[in-house]
This record gives sequence, structure tokens and C-alpha cells, in this order.
Amino acid sequence: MEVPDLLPGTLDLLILRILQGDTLHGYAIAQRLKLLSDDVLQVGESSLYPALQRLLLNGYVDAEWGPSENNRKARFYTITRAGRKQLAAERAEFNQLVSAIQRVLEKA
Amino acid sequence: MPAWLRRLLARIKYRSFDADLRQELDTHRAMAERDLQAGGLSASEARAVASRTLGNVTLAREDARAVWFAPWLESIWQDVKYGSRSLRRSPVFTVMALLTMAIGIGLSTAMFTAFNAIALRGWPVENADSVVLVRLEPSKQRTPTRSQSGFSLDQLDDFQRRSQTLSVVAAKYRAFEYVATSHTARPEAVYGQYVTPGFFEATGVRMQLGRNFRPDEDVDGTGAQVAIISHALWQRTFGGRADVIGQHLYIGKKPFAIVGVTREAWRGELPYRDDLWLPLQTVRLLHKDYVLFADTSSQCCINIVGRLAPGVSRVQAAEELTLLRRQRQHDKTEADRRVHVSDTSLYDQTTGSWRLAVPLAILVVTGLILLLTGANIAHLQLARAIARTREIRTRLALGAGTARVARQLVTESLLLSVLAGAAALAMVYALLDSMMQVAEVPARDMWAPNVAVFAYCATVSVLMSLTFSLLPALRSTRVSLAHGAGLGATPSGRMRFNLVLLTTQIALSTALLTGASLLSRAIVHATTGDFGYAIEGLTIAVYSPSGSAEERQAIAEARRGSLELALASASLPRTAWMYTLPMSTYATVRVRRPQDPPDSAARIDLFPMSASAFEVLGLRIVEGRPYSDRADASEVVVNQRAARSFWPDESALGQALVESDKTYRVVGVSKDAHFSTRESIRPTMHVPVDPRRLPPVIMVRAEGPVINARLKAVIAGVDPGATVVARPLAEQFARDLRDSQAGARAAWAGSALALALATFGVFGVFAHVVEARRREIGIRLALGAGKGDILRSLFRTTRMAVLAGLGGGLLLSLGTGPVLQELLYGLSPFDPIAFGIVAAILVLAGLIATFIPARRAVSVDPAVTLRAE
Repeated sequence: MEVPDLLPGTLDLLILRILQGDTLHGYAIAQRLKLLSDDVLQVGESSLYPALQRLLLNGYVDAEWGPSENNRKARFYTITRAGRKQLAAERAEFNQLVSAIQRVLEKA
Repeated sequence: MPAWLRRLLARIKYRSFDADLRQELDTHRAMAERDLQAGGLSASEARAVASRTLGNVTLAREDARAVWFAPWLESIWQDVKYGSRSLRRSPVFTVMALLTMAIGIGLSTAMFTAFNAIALRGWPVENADSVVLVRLEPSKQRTPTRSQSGFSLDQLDDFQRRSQTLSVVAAKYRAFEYVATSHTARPEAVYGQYVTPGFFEATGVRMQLGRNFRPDEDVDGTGAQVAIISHALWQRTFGGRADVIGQHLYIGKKPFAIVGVTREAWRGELPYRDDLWLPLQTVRLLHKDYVLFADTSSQCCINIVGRLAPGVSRVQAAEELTLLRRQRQHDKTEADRRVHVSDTSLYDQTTGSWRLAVPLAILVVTGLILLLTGANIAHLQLARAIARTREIRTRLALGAGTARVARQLVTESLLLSVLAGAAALAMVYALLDSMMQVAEVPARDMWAPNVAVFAYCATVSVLMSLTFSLLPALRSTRVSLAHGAGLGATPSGRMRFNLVLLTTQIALSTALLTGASLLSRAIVHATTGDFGYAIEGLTIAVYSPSGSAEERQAIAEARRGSLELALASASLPRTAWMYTLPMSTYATVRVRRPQDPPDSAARIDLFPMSASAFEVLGLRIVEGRPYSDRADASEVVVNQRAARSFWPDESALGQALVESDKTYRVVGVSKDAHFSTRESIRPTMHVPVDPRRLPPVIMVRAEGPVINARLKAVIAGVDPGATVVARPLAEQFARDLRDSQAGARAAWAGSALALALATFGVFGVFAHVVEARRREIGIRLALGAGKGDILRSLFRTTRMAVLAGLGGGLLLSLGTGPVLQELLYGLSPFDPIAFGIVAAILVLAGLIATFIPARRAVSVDPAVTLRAE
């Protein structure tokens, strides 16, 4: 199944939002995303992990190794303070963008 | 933590980073499969679905990694590693290429640096740009006086008063004095300058201790007995003592108070190393016979140093000074002469054709060296490129883009050039070090590392590498997959050009080697061989008496008498006296037979020596007897050459020779011997030593440090202030040849480098030919050709070039032999031993150059090459 093209940077935003409440490992994030979007957004390894690495690089999330549900070693991601700030900022920006698009679509 | 720091840390912990990522992705996939299996799919189905939905793992990993490490950086690092591995795999090529580039670049850089340091650098003083040297250009009439380039004191005065372009005008005059720290201490010879007080102000030389001369210390007619010494002299002679100001230096037995010590960096003008500065007017005190600096006397001429006024150029100053001078001249020819104002570099001080010739010569030679180096590199690279064609074709076939392959070749090439640049830099400093020793330039500060040197090395290295190694390598990427490397047995156009270069290299190396060989042989010839008298076992003592000329004259007779007595009593064997050492000319006079007309007088060398000298030297008298040492003796001994030339048909004994006002009577004929030069034996006349002039050379037939010490002691006992040097005659000759030895060493160094380049050149061409014809060799070997046949056919390509090179080199050597003649001390410029040495070296070099490629050629496995068909 194909993943619809997200606006660039949106995946990062979604991941941060998911991690806002919880500490999850990579697979769990993908599952949560699928669940919350009613199966619309299905993201594969090749998109998810680069995004996670980007967040790590910029210091928006922290990563730690720990045992997963079935005792496999997995990396758990936690949002940081900088991450929360970034989330708020990006969310506001995203809302601005979307409402602008909608206005154009209605009025044009 | 900023992002770049995180990147750096991740890079450092790269291995664990990669492992973590891999593990994470594996876990993700495992969990996905497990979930799918839980949803009812079988294991294999689960795997398939997971793969499809999750995507390419490797791509994921690469993309994830790419977030952290810029991919282009990574691939460049990859290229570097690959390149270094590739270079390591062909060590012979790498070493040859490095050496060739290092020699070529190093040599040319060293020449530039040497030129810059010697000729272009100004004095190490503040504001060196505004310090100028003022000189007179020679007049059109080149009489001895009119060629003098200095000025008189009057002229200095005039400039000082009236010049607007020079803010300070000062004078200097070369000094060479013997100084001692006390009346009885041994004097030391130092160079220095007599200067006016403005000198240090004009040059900007600061004092480390003490002060400059005061104007009242250099008043017309009387100079104060004060001195300024150099930092080096202060350390050397006064041990760097802190209270040196006020101490005295004894110059010619007169005390001079030290008032200043210059800074360490300042050591006077090249090529001298000045240690002493005295007020100009004291020259009268120390040398009574000097006529002070009139315009036209033979002892004229101080040199002028000045400082430009702000905003004034040297050209303006020159014009003004020329004008000022002209206004004072009444003599028209003198008035025509221009004043030349130069800065303090040696280059600016020269005029005439040298100005253009020297830089041009250096440029040409450097260009030639670089060209040759580049050609050699090109050959080496061509050979290598052919050998790597398969590797490159494989890479292209596997899907590498041409750009990527090209980039890898560039990186490898740059790697080589970086290494070569570093090696070249090392070679530059080694060369400069040895040049310093050869030229006996004492100061290390002249060769201080220069940014320009680094830049030049780096640039040339990179350019050379890119131009000469990249192009052949890139050509091999464009070779189509189905095509072989098509280089046949007959040289193509470019190959022919390269062969011409090879010929040039070989010719030059041969010529240089011959020159070096001749020079060395000449030195051997000059110190051994038959002089006509026995050199071994002779010790000489040369002494300079203390005191002024008049003092010496007054007491000479008395001193000599006491000296003779002292020598006799010091249990030394028989001694001889002379004015100069053998192998130098004392004087030549014109003499004729009494019956000949006055204008038929011919030159004859005059070599005065005491009668005992014949015995001490072992110079045989073949006819007659030696003369006696009487004061007014007109008895002389001539050598066989002179006898034959003046009296070809009769005996010379009893004959007379007339000089303008003197008549000599021949009492003996001596065997022909070398007294003036090694090249030939000239007609020589030996006369007794004049006791009124104290002969400074004592010779004795004995050797050893004991003898040396005794000679010194005896002389010191009679004249404590005299400076004595005692050593074996053979050693003295060797010393005199020191310059020639340095020259010979330099010639050997140069020719060794040239030979190295030529050897690498031959190697390169040969390797190239072998690689290009590898297939052909394989086939021929398979068809039964002998190894000798293979080698012969390979040599054929280069045979013409090598033979032409050797022939050209030989012609060049024969042609330049006569040019070197005057340096050869009588050795024939066609000396067979010298040529023999050169031939041996060339054969050896040729063997070395062709050994490895030849071995590669005959070790071609026909099976391997045929398989590639």
C-alpha cells in the first residue's frame, strides 16, 4: 500500500506528537501512527528511521536501549524539552498553512 | 549540544552507531513479521508482506545514516582509502613517481628560494624599504679611476647638506682588522666597516647594548677611539659579559673603547660577516698610508648609505643626486656619470646584463626541470594506466558512473601529489642545508621557512599531478569495453615527443656527470702528482707581524736575525724562507739578455726564496749551484724552461739577464717545477730573499703537531703580537682547493639529481612499453620466442633515444671541456679516467633503470595473457 505524499517535515511533526504522551520504540510509533490515522498513514522503515535520526540529530528526542515487549532489544525514543517547544511551534505553523490552503480552496 | 557536535561524536563512535542502526531495523522487521503472523499469515508470507510494506532495508539504513554523515564526504573518504590502497599495491610505481616529483619540485623550489634569499632579500632591519645604497655608475671611459663606484668625503658632505630626497646620508668603508682583547692576547681577524655616525640611523640597526657613535667622535681629521661590535663578537670574544660597554678592544695595539653592541639579527652585508664598526676618521689612525677618500685616488671612495625621505622613490633620489653631483663636477666626462640608488638586496645592486640574465637563466632551468619531471611522471602513469585498464573496465561494467570513476582517479592523483609535495618540501630543506654548507654561508636566518615556498611546492605538485597523471588515467576510462588498449610497437606522435625529452635528459645527465667527474679528477690531480719537488713532509708557518708598516720596516732586520737564531736553537731541522707559498705568484718581471733590444723583454716569474729552500724543498739544481743569501746579491737561479727559452743553444751558467735597472747573473739552473700554477711550468727565476722585507713564510722539512707548536712558539717568542698559522703544506694546498672541492661537490649533487631524473625517465618509458605490449609478448613467448629476443625487440623502441642521448651528452661534454679548462688545474679536459668513471656510472644507471621492467617483461605468463583474449 502506498503512503500518500506528506508535506515535507510533517512526518517529524507527527512523530513528535505521538511521543508527546509516551516513550515508544520505532515499530510502536509506526503502529500508533497507523492506528490513529485509521490506516491511512502507513510508514515504512525507509521513511521512519531517517526521520527519527533527524530528530535525534537536532536534539528533539532522546534514545535509549531497553527490552521490548517480547524481550528483544529495542531503542525507545523520548521527547525532550526542546522537542516539546519544537512541536508547539511546528503545530502552529502547520495549522496556519492548512487554514491558508483551505481558504484558497473555498474562495477561489 | 549543537548538531555538529553530535555529528562528530557519532562519527567517532561510528561502528557502534552502525551496529545500533542495524539492530534497530532488524528488531522493527522482526516485530512486523510477528504481528503479521499473529494476524494469521504463515512465516514466509509474513516475511514477504513485511518486506513489501516496509521497503528496502539497506536503503533505509543508508538514508538514516545520510542524516548524520554527508554522503559526499563519505564517498570522498572512500575514494581516499581506495586510492591509498591502490598506490600501496604498486609500490614501485608509487616510489618512482614520488621520487621524481620530489626531485623535480624540490630542485626548482630550492633554486627559487636560494635566489630569493641571496639576491632578493633586503637587510634584516626595520623599514628596509627605505634604506638605500648609493653608487656611481661606471663612466663610458673605463679607465681604472673612472670605474670606481664610490664617492669622496666632499661629495658625501655635499649630499648631506643639500639632498632633499634622502633624510639621512651616511658613509661606510670596508675594514679588515686584527683585534685583540688585550695587549698580549692573540689577535683575531674580523671584518667590519668604517662608518659615519649616521650609518646606524640610516640603516635602522638598533643597539642591543650601549649607544651609537656621537657626531663629535667622527670629526674631520680626528676620530675617537671607540668601537661598536656585533652581537656575535660580543658572545664569541667577550663571552657575552654584561659589562662589555667600556671594555677595550686592541686594534693594531691601540685601545678602542666599546660603546655599543648591535642586535643579534644584524650581521652586516653579504658576503661578509661584519663584527666591528669604527668611526670613519679612525682609518687614519690605523693605516697611516691611506689618503682619505679623494675622488680619484686609487684608495678613494667611500660607499654611501641613506634613508629615503617619506614619500620619495628611489628613482627620484637618483635623479636628484645625479644633478647635485653634476653641479660640482668640472670634468665633463666625470659629470656624465649617473648616480644609481638601489635597495639593500643584492639583486637591486647589480646593473647591466646580469640583471636580466640570472633570473632568466633560473627561470629557464626551472622550467626545463619541471618539464622533464612532468614527462617522466606521464610515462609512469601511462604504464600504470594500461595495467589498470581491466580494473577500470570492470568497475564501469558493474555500474559505476564515469564521473565516479574519474573522481576516484582524481582523488588518487591528489593523494600522490600531497605526498610528493611533502617529500619535495623535505628535499628543499635538505638541498638548502647542503647548499649552505657548500657555499659556507653561515647564517641560518637567510633560509627561514617561507610561505611562498610552501605555496609554490603545493601548487606545482598539484598541477603536475593533475596534468601529467590524470589525463592518461582518464583516457583509460573512455576505453570502450570491447576494445583493447591499442599501443603498438611503433611510437605514436606523443610517444615521439616523450622520447625526445628522454634524449634531452640523458644528454644533460651525461654532460653534468662528465663535468663533475672532471672536476673531482682535477682536484686529485692538483694535490698529487709530480710538482717537481716533494710536497709530503713539509710544514709551513705563515705569520703576519704586528705593528704598522713603518714599524715593521724599522725592526725587520733585527727581528729576522733574532728569528733565525731562535729557529736554529729550537732544534728544528733546516728552515727555508719565502714571501709566498708555492702555488701562488709572487711577481712577474720583464727581463732580456743584455744584447737584446729593450722592447724584447719577456715575462718571467719571480720566486724569491732563501738558498736553503733548494735543499728543504728538494728542488734539484741540474747545473751550477744555488746562490748565497747576501743582501745585494745579483745571483739568481733560473729553471730549465727559462734557460731553454733564453739560451737555447748554450748553457745558461754565467749568463746575464737585464731588468729595467738591474742586472742578474745566472749561477744555477733548477729542475722544472710547479711554483705558480698547476697547469703549466712557466719560466721562473729564483732570487735570494731580501732581508729588509721580513719574509712571512717559513718552511721546514718535518711534520707533526710538535713541529707546528715549536714553530709557533719560536715566532711568538720573537714577536708576541704576530699571528701565526702552521700546518703541513699538503693540508694548505687542500685548503686552497676548498672552493674547488665545494664546486665539485655541487657538480656531483646536480648531476646525481639529473641522473636520477633521467633514470626514472628511462624506467618510465620502458615500463610503459612493456605494459603496452604485454599481450604481444605473451603471444610471442607462447610461440616460442626466447627471452633475449623479447628484450631486444623491446629495447628497440628506446634504443634510438638512449643512443642519441648518450651521443649528444658526449658531444656536449667534449664541447664544454675546454670551457672548464681553467678550473682543471692542468688536467686534460679529455681525461680518459674521468670519462671512464662516467661510462661506468651510466651503465650502472641503465641497468637499474631497465631491470625491473625487463624482469616484468620476461616473466609474462603467456597463459595469462592468452586467456585474456
